[in-house]
Amino acid sequence: MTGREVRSAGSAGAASERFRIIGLAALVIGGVAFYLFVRGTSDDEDARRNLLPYQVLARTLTEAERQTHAAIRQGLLVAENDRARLGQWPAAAALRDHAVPPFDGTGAPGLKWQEFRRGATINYLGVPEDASGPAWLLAVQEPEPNTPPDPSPNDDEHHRLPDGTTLHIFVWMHRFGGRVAPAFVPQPQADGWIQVFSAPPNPVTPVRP
Amino acid sequence: MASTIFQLLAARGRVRRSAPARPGGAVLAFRRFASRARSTTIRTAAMALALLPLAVSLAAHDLSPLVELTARLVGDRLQVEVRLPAATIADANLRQDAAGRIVGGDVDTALAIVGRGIATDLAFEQDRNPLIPIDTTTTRTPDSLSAVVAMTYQVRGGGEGLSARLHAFQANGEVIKLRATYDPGSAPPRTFLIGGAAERVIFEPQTRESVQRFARLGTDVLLQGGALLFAVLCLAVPRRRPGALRQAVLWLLAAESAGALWSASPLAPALITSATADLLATTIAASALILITAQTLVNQESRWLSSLALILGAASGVGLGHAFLEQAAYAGAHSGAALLTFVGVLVLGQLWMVALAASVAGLLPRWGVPAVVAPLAVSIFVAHNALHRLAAAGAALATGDSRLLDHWLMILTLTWAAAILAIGLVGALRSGNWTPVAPGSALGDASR
Repeated sequence: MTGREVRSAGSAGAASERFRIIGLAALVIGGVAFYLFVRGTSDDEDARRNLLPYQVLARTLTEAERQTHAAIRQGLLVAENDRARLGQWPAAAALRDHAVPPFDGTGAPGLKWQEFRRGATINYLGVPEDASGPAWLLAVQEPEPNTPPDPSPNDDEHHRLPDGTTLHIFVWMHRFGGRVAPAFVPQPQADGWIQVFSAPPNPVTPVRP
Repeated sequence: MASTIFQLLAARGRVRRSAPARPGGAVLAFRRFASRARSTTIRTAAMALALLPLAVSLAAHDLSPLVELTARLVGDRLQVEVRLPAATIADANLRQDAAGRIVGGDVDTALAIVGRGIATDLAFEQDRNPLIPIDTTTTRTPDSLSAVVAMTYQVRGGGEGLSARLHAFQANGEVIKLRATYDPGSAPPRTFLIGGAAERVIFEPQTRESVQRFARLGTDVLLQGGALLFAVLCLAVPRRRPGALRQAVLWLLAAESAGALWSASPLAPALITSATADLLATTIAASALILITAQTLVNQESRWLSSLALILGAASGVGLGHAFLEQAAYAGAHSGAALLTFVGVLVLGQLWMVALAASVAGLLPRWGVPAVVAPLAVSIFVAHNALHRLAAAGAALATGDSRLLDHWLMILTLTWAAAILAIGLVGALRSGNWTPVAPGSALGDASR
């Protein structure tokens, strides 16, 4: 039988292939790193894709508006504590008397707060002293009686009281605060209000209203 | 279009030459195409399925109202004027009549509030320091359908570091875009079109900021559009000689770069920078891509691959130039650096994709995947997508304003068919005698 000589690539061929694979791996890692670096300095346009026309992220607001939004989120926690302790939501005047920002009128521009209730929803409405400043609306929606518990995780919109009651929290802003009527706002998005989020809403969990 | 080309070419392929003479490229390709009847039938059927007429979406003319902002630097003063359609400030509860005109006794008071609110909202800054308007006036336009807010700011130096918080507006649940024009006085005005959430626009960015932004734009165009990725896939995935692949990729990238640099430069004529030219380029690029996928199925080593890649690259380059021009205002005075960054990112990104795609394609046979699967799958996928784009661009061109554009797809198809026929004829004439072949007869092998 005639033998056939087969020459293998040998160690040189193996080294060449190893070099190519390492080079390819470096190329992949380098490409991904470059992409992440470039995207990392972006203004997070992807995060805004889940937003409706009347929704904005707090970080896109002006500095003063961001501070007011943050203060409202902090003041909400104090109100929730009172609700958990006393069984009812505190009046805006009570929060002012207890010097809870921004209900005490601090911040720029100063806001005058009133509360309005309708059914299971309470509105804390802050109208600016400067009519050209923005108005703010903190809407808290308690569950209707005999409704099953909401399993949504805690986030910007969903807060839980110690007794397990799930609250739906909405923070709204109106550009022309001096033109806002001091009354309960049943459908803010229909009256020119803009809903403000700290983080993009979860696309899986339905957002009400 | 592809089925028409296939019919023309298949008919052309039935004409045979005498065995000893060397056939032309197109004749040769389709002789081999017909000789592998069974497998080709399967391929053709798969290709035809992918190339079935697709739903065409008609692009409507965009006649939406705009909010117009003009910022003009005059000496040490920045004069800003914002024109707002009444619908965009409806949340100010301004009274309007049935025709949408702003009316009412207290309208001046209300408009003053609106004007101050807009000034606060725009948040002009210089070197990150907030600017307070010296003067703000708000008036109605003569037709009372819009409000005009005029603001004056005092600025330092030549306006370096000026920026504003710009965003689209909303009216009745719809987004109203903002068109902002910045006129520095010492340079041509720049126009920004904002269609989304608030962003801080720097009117005179530094080089680093321009380069970063256009590097981002390059990655966006590379990864989100898909057209460039598909061009790379259909070149790199089929098994080709390294030399043929290298040449095709080089031609593609060179033509793309040249097309982008030229169409985005001031040297490009207005015709090239128009929206119509962008659509025409899209159709040419898509049709070239379809032909490359067809060539891949017929002859992966076709000598026409580089020519098609050149045409694809040139047409794609015009489209890339348009993508740059839409954002060119953000480059400020550094448009050259921005353009080079943009093109550079695209070239490097595509080279990266070619390396990856070719490597993966090389691994597939080792895993037992038949060699025909990857090219077939990629060809079908890419051709399908290209047909979508071709149909959409063709429909957008058919606006009724020009008979040429209305029938552009037909003209393009016939042009390609004529070119392919001409190539086949020239090849056949150069190769020698023709001999008709009886149906079903075997075909001889021929060299490339």
